[in-house]
Amino acid sequence: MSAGGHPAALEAIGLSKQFKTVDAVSDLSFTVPQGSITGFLGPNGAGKTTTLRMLLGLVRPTAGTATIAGVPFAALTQPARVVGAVLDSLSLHPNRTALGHLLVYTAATGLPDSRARQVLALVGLEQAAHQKAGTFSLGMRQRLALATALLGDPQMLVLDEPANGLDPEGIAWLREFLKAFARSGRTVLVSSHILREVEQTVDRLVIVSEGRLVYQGGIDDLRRSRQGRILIAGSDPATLAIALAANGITDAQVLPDGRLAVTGAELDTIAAIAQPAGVRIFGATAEPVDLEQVFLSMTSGRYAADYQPGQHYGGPR
Amino acid sequence: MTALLTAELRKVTTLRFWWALAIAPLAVALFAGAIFAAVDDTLTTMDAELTTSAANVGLFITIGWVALFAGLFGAVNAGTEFRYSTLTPTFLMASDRDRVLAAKLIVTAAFGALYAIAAMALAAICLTAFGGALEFDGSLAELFAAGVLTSIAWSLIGAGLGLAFASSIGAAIALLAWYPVGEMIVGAILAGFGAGSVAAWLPGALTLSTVLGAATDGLSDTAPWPLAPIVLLAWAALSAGLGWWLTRARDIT
Repeated sequence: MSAGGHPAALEAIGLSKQFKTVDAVSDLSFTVPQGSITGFLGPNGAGKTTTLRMLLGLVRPTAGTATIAGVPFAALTQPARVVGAVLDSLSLHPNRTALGHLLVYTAATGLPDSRARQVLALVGLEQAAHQKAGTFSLGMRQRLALATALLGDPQMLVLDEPANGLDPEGIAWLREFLKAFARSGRTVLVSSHILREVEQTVDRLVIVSEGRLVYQGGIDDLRRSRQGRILIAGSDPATLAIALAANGITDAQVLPDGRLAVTGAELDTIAAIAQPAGVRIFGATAEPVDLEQVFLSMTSGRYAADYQPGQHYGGPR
Repeated sequence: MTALLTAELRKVTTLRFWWALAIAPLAVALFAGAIFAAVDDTLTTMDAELTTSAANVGLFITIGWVALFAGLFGAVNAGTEFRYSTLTPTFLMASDRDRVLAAKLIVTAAFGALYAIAAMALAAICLTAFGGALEFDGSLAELFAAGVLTSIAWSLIGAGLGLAFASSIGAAIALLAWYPVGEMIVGAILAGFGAGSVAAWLPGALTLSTVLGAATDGLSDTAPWPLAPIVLLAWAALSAGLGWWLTRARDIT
């Protein structure tokens, strides 16, 4: 399961979680290889947060196990040195100063108090050390939560929707930060409901929908598995489409600008078919795969498939 | 464990509620001390036996208020962890929940003791300063010890409720409803069922009998002295144990 022979930093094995009658996560297994930046993708309500909390020992799974560096979270003797986490709650008391907040956790982990100043500098909050967290913007609170996660200089970071509330500048900063973190051989697991947010950062993807795994693997593998379109500007798109269909290439679509979008064929092949059909090709552009579309098609099934005519969804009867 | 105790102590001292909640019992200590010193002064001319009691009444009232606010301290100190999810990073940095909860309860009990010592010292100073005849003897020391014990017990009851309800507001409301009024109503209902004697074993009544038992030879219809503090501590253990048990298995979401 692990990519490139690296041992798994984080692993979920058959994780399930039932909240009362709701199945939040169902038999979910995936691996986060050491040294990777893995994106944990899924629409809101897909069970991402619950899964991350099960990995971190905060939520008890109904079934299955989760391991960090090969052992369950509870078996880590110094968890702060192994894994740091920024979860959706951010976990800041509004009346505690940034420094006061960090000093609680340097004490809890037996770190020197000077470490609190260091991590504040690391996330660019040293000027706000004596300000109360309640006065912070969401972006600053995200940074303070990240500083807390970094206190123990952990080998891996788990981030739940860290881009929420960050301005574009903050997102760019976080992206560079995570890349630098992973370059030193450390591991990042970052969740998001928007692939575009993490597309430029992650090298691996774990995609879930309705608490179930729909994809795990390299982001490039996913891109390769989906063919991009070639946009052909030709003298007669309709004739070309018919000629292509006659040759078994049926996925061709005339675009509003008059170009023909062809999927599943190389440009050489198209040109070879166009010539005998009397269509002149003026130009061709390869359109890259839109991963966001791929992601949405993988996870939006529940909206498309659930609806059946005649079925009532709530409302008066 | 020292690390976790320091962390729990810092959780308290980096916020303001610990001294804000101490204002009310300290103010009561100040006024009760001053007023009952004056009462005591008046009584001196009448009956020597009564004077010690009058001075002690100032301390009884102080202890009554300290117990309530120590309970509120415990409720806030435990419940606020859930309100702002600050329990999450604590559990992430110390994977042993039992040790975290033990540290929290120990720090809570320490503040309960601190509240009692500060308030009773203030009351005693005021009683003496305003002319009360407070005798600094063994029975006063017993009263001080009883005050500290009841305050610790209530801080743990409050913390247990805060952990069990996962809410400081809920736990504080429960305390405020129970302590001055609720227990009396429950006692009346119990009496209606012919079980009135059970009321003497409820935490509020036990607080009274612990304090009175330390100062006097006990009163009728109250729990006897050595049992009163023991059962009060059992209530504290029950509440703290319940909060502990619920929190150690709870999903932190």
